[in-house]
Amino acid sequence: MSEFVQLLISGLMVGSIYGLIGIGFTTIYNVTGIVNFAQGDFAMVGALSAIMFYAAGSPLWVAIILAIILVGLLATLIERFAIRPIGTHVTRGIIATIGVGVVLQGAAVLIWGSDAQPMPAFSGDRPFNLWGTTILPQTLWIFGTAATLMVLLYLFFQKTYPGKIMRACAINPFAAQLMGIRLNAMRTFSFLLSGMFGAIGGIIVAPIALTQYDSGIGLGIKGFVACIIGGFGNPIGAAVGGLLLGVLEAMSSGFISSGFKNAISFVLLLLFLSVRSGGLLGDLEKVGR
Amino acid sequence: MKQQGIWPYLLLVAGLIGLQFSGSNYLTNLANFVAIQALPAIGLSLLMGYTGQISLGHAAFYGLGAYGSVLLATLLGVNMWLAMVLAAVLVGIAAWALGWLVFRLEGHYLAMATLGFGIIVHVILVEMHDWTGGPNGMTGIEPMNLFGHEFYSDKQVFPIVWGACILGIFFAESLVRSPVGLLMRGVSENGRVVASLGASPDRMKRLVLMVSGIYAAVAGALYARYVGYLSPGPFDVGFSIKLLLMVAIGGFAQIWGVLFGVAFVALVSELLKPLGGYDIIVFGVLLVVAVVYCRDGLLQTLFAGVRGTLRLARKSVS
Amino acid sequence: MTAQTVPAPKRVIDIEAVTMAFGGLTALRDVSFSIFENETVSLIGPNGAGKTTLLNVIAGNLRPSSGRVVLRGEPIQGLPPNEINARGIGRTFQSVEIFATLTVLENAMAGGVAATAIGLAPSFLPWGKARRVQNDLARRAREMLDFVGLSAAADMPGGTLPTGQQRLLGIARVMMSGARVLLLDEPGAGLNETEKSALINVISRLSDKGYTIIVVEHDMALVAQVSDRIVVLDQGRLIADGLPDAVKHDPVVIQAYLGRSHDHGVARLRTQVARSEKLLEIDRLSIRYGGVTALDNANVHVNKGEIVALVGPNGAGKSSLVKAVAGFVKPATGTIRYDGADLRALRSPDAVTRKGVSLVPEGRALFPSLTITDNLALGYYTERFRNWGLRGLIAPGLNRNDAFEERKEIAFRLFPILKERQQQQAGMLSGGQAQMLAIARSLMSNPRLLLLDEPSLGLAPKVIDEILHKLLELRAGGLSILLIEQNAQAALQIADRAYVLSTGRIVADGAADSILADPNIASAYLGWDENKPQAETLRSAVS
Repeated sequence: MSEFVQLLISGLMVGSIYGLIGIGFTTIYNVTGIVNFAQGDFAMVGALSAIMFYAAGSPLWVAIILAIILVGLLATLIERFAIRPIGTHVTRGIIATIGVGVVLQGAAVLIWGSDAQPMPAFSGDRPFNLWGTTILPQTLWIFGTAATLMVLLYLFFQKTYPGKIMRACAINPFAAQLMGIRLNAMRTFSFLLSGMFGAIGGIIVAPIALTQYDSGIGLGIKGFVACIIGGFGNPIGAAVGGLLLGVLEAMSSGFISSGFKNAISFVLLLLFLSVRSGGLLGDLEKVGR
Repeated sequence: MKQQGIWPYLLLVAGLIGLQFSGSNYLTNLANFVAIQALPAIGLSLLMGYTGQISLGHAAFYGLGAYGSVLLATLLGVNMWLAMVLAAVLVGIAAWALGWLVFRLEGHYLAMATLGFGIIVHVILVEMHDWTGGPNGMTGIEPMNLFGHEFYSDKQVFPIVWGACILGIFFAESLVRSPVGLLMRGVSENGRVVASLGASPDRMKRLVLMVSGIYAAVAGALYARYVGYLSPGPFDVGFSIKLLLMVAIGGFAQIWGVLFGVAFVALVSELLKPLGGYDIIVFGVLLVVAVVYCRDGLLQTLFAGVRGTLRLARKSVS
Repeated sequence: MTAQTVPAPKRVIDIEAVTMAFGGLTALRDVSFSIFENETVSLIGPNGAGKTTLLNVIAGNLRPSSGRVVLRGEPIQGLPPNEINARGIGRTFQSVEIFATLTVLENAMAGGVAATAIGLAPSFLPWGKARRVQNDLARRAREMLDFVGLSAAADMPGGTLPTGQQRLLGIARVMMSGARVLLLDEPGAGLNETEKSALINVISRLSDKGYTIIVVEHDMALVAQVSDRIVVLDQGRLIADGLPDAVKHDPVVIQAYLGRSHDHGVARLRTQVARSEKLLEIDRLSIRYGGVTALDNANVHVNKGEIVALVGPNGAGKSSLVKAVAGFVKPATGTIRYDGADLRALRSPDAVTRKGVSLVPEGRALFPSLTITDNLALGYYTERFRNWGLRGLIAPGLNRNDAFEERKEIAFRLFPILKERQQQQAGMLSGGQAQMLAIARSLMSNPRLLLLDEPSLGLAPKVIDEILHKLLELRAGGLSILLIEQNAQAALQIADRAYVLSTGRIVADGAADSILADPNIASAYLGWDENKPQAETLRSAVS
């Protein structure tokens, strides 16, 4: 039983990270119609640059904030020079974002080397016991951050004016322009947001998993799978999908075989793509109940 | 429609013979890898360039061909050449079946589904220790032999892999110029119109994926026999992306261009060897530049650029 | 008109009680008719009548919600398009869809590949079966190109052909597939007179060769010349089926085209005299898409406080004109001046909106998953930006500020139904309410010029009248309106002045009353008269 709870907790924790990465996908996709295959690499760059700033002597929280801003700005540059020239061509968009991801990985090797790097936990490494299971404090940080961000993003899209502007761009870019909304500005903004979400995801998971130049690939793919399970373009779906995927992975590595857990998430991906391509929750912009 | 010319083949063969006379083992070895990697790249070009369907999992077919041919030979105890054919057929069937699953999807979904397929196969190669040796791989794979003659050294393998590569180019060039090739190009432009003309676009996509898979599988089988050692590493997603780069540099729908792309990537890899892990930056930049700014491939864009400059120069002179 | 006057009695296709519903929208209702061997049937009707939907149902691109499509006694509805082609029904597309990277000859050859049933295996060798099939296809393709008069262009890339020739190539390509029943989807759209007569010639000769042809077409002159029989759809229903002469004079058909709005005395509301100060001035505007000329040298202006109607049949170039004003289409030549400023110099459509020109597009383009209030709030974007800059977009609470509430109230006073439903999703509104919301949303940006594209499309006559009345109220408030309408009858009743467009040209302009009063408008507008150029008819009537 306690093994089950332990697995459940670690699954939920990993799942929160997947959800955060998935939300990054969602934010860009909803405004630009592009799936950013470099999303996981935003997380990697975020974690490694936070580690760098910390090593350079800045307090941890300053290092983290700097890293988040850095990745956000990087994302807007990428949008301007690699994504915008493509227009709406889907295949070229995919290849270009893959290329961007490869460049980011290469740059990471150049700047930080290829060794895996640790990051200090936000509030100590001493695990505590809860209902017979040991929990690291960082786990709580991950839950807290992911939950807060998801709720904030949900409120942003549902309640605030800028959130509705972004949704308007996603629902009907033509109509959004009719309203006088600058699509390109919104595209840039969505990359900024998404880069920041990616960085946060990478940073909060860094203390419990070492980060290296290729850590982003796996995270990116899992984040995408989370989106597919939950329904692409739906931030709540991405969160739910991420949690589900995390738990399934943890359970399968606990009870079946740890090596196959990656394959299992992809079997899930193929299954959802072929059977229920709308995901569990379907489209955010659905009319009526 | 023009028939294919004989000149590119003659030039290629002449170049290869020249390379043999140079006597450099290093160049021969490099050329052998170009020939082997050209096959999956051409296969991918048939699928992506000519039929317009993305695949991010082509390394899987390559790996299945490599492992499959070796395993079939040892397990069934059959001749290695027969095992190669069997492996290619099985991979072809697998690709056809995958096509049923993924070609109801388009765009990003198709990209991710094929990527997922690639990763699943890679995980299987790593995890099925009893069959594949897991991460340690399989060693001691017998080299190719025909009628008792062994093909072991770079020079001995050279004619075989280049023979296969040239045949591959020839078949692919014939296919894209055939009536079926017209439908492939039709599917890449507009599947709805192809359907209105009596052909099923999904069936076309599956057929091309099958052909593409067989190309990759044959190359994998040759690779296994040439290198004599297999581990999952060379068949990961990274290789799928490298294939993408080769095809993008070649200009997607140009068979000979793709051969250039493969050679270009191989040469750049060699030149960048002193940089160690940094070479991927260059590849990433190349991929972005090729797809964003050189829509018809590197060579064509360069030519167009040179022509444009010449014209400008001539204008400013006159 | 084609040669055969006695239709062959053998039925080829029976449409049996076909209904096609998309969600809440019913595009076809219980449509039944038959097509006989070697007959040329034209399928006509105003925009949104369901013609293309019906074509898609026959060709297998859509599965009907109910009813059957029977080909020579066998039901074929719901079969995939390639199966339907294999059974002998071929189609062309409204948007031509030529393979741009293939040559003209290759395009035609591609049409015949499926019918040869050549397998994959022989295709890997350049000789043998593949070569034989190839040569045979090329020979037949040349014959077909010869038939449609494209032999000279055989080696050109398909994408470089002008539209008229692309349409002919589309016909040659589908003939290659061996189909004996041809469905032609708006073959005449965007063609000039020479191209049109070439097309008419090809269709007649196809008929002589024994083909059975169904044509969906807007150009009535073309329809009149090729049809043995005409079937008329309106709002998804079959409203007439008969010989061309009978259909031409059928009052139900004429009403379907000219609109259902009757005189409710709106003309009397038009009391205020417009000032002659020009707000929008369009000078020699031409618009081309690829090779198609959508608008040719048009001069249009709107004075301050004036309603100007732009009427004409579908495909006349009306929508292209407003889209150019709104910045969504880059014109080939000409100028667009608004309040002294050059609109063409603006970088993107959103800048046009910020200048005070608001477009209510055809189909409304609402945000269906957002509430009515949110839709209005987004319409208010420009004002927020104007009044408070970037802070206006970010600061919370501005949603509920007084200026916004005031504008919202004005919109609600105009359309009270919106107030009742303000927390509902816009996607739940009926067609008429949705149109009201679209107009209200546009007004939120405080425009000085409103562009309305087909506001009456798909609405009941009573609702149309209600909305048009509101436009008069807006005009009384000083707003200038450029109104695009297919429903000429309704539009002309409220407009001050009007322009009549036909195939990209302005064929008449003048006071709305005089155009409305013209007894010849029906025949001229619909272009039935194939002998007399329609422009002349109208000009003489107006002057």
